[in-house]
Amino acid sequence: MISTFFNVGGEQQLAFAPLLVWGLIFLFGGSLGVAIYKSLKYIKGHKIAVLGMQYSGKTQLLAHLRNIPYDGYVNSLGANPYEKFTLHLGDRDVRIANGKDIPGGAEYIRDYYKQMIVDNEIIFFLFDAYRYLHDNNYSRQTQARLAFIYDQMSGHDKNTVIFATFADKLGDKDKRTDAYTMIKQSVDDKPYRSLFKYNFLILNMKDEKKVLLDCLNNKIFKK
Amino acid sequence: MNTILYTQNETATTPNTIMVDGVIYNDFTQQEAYKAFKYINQKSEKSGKWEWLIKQLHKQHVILSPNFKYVKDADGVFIRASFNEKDEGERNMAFMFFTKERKMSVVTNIIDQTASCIQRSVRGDEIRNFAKAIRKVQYIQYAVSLIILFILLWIL
Repeated sequence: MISTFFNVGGEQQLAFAPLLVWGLIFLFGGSLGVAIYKSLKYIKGHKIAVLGMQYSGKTQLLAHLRNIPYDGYVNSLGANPYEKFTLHLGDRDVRIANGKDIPGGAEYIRDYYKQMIVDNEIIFFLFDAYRYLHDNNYSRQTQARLAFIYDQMSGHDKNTVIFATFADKLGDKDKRTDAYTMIKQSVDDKPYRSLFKYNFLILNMKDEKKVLLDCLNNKIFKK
Repeated sequence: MNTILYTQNETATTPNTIMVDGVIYNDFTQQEAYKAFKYINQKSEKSGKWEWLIKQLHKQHVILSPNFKYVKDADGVFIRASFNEKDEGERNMAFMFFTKERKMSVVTNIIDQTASCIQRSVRGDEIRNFAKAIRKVQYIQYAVSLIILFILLWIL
């Protein structure tokens, strides 16, 4: 049947036939493999790590992603595991694997950061934008932590998202834009400046859930 | 280490407090304090068998702290909950507590005394209420076991 379908000279037809059969097998097998992989990815979920400074909004971020209320939360103390959940981004759903909400204290860096960076594909890092620009000690600590994260990421292909939070404390839109520029300039000469190149956002984590989800939809979990 | 209390303070600039057997360490670079913190932090990652009960009590607002955790193991009792006092972000300050004492009535008294050393108070009566709820469940389990045993003996 294949030889009559392709009107080529007799022996050449027969030579092409196995190639064609194998080609079709690879094509369908490959498509099936991709479909299975995407299904498994949906079932297992994307692996995310939420890291950041104390009081920067990490738990609030997770509450937004999980679509659960944040009211009544206490300060995070000790690692709080969460189950895998579905992130609703407009007209599609993205599965997020189970993980841990860890506090922002420096004592957690040694025991959690390295493993969380290695184990997860998307790394979120949060810090307080207002404090960063007004408290030298805080900005130094934030930069030290970013340097640490950058070192740990070396050799691993990771997607990073930097959120500078408490944008409401910065003032109006122009002041926010200035703050954005100043923060970027502050890391211009640092080896980890590339972390701020693509996915860096200043926002009010408490009240700007839509901005957060838009960022995730358009930049992180692109269609 | 017989008792450890670890808590964050009102602001992010104030170092966390850890109290080991009545001695307060405010600076976390100290070797002993870090060792104690690591120990209590590991306890916080264990799964307790009463998590189902904690979820129920949350729904009933008997337990108020959303991060409430209770683990009893061979070493002692670990509790994570929050104080009445709030931080600069108006959130109740959380604490982690461990004691080698295993009797809940004694544990709650120790927590109260330890917290008062740093001018804090445990939120509501949630730990005492939780202890009462455990006792209630245990009595019911005991009663059910006796009934089943009685039925089996009667059948046999």
